[in-house]
Amino acid sequence: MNLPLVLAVIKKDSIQLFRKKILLFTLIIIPVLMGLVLPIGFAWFIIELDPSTLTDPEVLDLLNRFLATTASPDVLTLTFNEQLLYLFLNYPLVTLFLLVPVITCSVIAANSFVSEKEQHTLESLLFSPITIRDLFYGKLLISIASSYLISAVCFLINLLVINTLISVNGFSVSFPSTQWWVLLFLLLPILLLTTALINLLISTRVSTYQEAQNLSGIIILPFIGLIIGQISGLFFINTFFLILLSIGLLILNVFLLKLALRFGTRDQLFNSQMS
Amino acid sequence: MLTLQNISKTFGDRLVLSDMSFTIPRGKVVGLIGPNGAGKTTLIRIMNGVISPTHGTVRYDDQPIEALRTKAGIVTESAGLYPDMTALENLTFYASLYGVRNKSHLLELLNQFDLAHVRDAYVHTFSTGMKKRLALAKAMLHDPEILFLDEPTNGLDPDGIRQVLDMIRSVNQTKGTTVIITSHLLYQLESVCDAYIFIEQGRFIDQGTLVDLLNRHQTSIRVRIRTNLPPDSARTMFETAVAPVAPDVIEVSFKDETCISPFLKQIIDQGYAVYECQIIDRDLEGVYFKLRGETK
Repeated sequence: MNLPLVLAVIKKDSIQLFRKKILLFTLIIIPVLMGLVLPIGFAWFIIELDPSTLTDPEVLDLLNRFLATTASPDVLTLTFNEQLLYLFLNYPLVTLFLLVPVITCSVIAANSFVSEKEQHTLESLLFSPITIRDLFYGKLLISIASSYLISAVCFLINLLVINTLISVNGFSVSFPSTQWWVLLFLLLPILLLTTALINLLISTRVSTYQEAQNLSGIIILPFIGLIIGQISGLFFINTFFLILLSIGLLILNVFLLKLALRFGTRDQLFNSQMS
Repeated sequence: MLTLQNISKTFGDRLVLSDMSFTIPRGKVVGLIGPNGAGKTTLIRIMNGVISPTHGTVRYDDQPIEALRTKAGIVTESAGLYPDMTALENLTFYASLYGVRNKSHLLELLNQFDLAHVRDAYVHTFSTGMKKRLALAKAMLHDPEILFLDEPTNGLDPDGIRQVLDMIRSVNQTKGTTVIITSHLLYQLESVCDAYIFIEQGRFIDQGTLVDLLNRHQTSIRVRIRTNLPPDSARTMFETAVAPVAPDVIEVSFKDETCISPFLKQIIDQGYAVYECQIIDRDLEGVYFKLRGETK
């Protein structure tokens, strides 16, 4: 890897991220909505919820039975609102939060090679001394780093606001739990690599940003499945699940990386974009 | 020296270039000429290593084409600039790809191409001429040994065209840069090129200096003469083919240049005047149409 050339691509792409209004709009609206408004809004709603308005005793029973099998005994002694908040922060919020890096990374990576084609700059790039591999690394790193940064900022704001809400209302729920650390430092980088690799592969094979966006939408489907799975009670995300998912994605990444690096000649890239 | 040997290129079932072989000598300005769809851009892309030939080899100074990558500059038809970046940001990015770290060199180039006053303006606000000039500055960043210019004067006004042509002459003369240039405007090429390569329908047709090409392909010379000699008299007076073009203008075909002076002398000796005499078709355009006619 020629680091100065990779860094030059990263710097150039990061300048362009801030200059492309449609891209920037997506990169602001998605994290604000899914990473801030919805999580903080739901947490606030749960804290303010009056348990007496819940007339169906089966809801309370279901909650107790679930927590008895998944949470520590301390959680069972909490109030209804605290238990519901605990449940939200550790299960649905995890999947909801994951959508932020997946969507932002998809948008940036899908745009990468296609935008070079759309701006008619690909030929000048292919003509220059940069190798296709370094060009690919540069685009991979900018996609991963920027979406990780966006996710980290969202998480820190969530951490601050939700903990303030917890503290102000005198709740005894701790946030974040262990599985959040596993998510942030294990699953998230691996998942971002998967997302970026898939989208870059799509971006090298299509001619327009619209095509790339349509195809990259498929990546979000498993996460919609995760949300539905959790709401329906089919399965629940815990630390073990996150570690297992990380290992699975890591193996997938090895194959994706091999596939991506096979796409290694100027001729192949030029033909895929220009013909 | 850039050497192409038996180059062929197909895109799917479509044969775009067929068995092309020629050499471009170092330090020359060479015009690549052919009609639309002849394969000029594909040939340039093969010569600069962006795409690979289906068959054949391209070598630069007897080395594989990869050796050319750090020594060549390119101006593509679309300029290859990032519209949402400033002129200086564009140059800085490409400079880092070519390992050029001297920022003052970038500022010098902007100055040289009359873009210093817009160095911090976004490229999408530039006129076509400004984009072409910036693309040329980009191509010159690393003082290349060889320059590939694909339609560098497209969309330029006369001032812009003159500036680009002056630049080509200047870099070739001062730095000995080899220049390979395509253009549909043959008179522009004629003012800067040392030699020409003609291609048609993906095939190499001929190569040489203008004089070489004229000697090979122009079997006669046509001269347009403005005179008070009546065309009918001219037809009866001379054995040479004479055609009236206007009331006081005749067009005469000669075997070669040596026949012109005696012909003019004869007119004058008969008591008529010669106001103007011009060789026509003895230029690049004449060769182009002659060659196209021969290949059809």
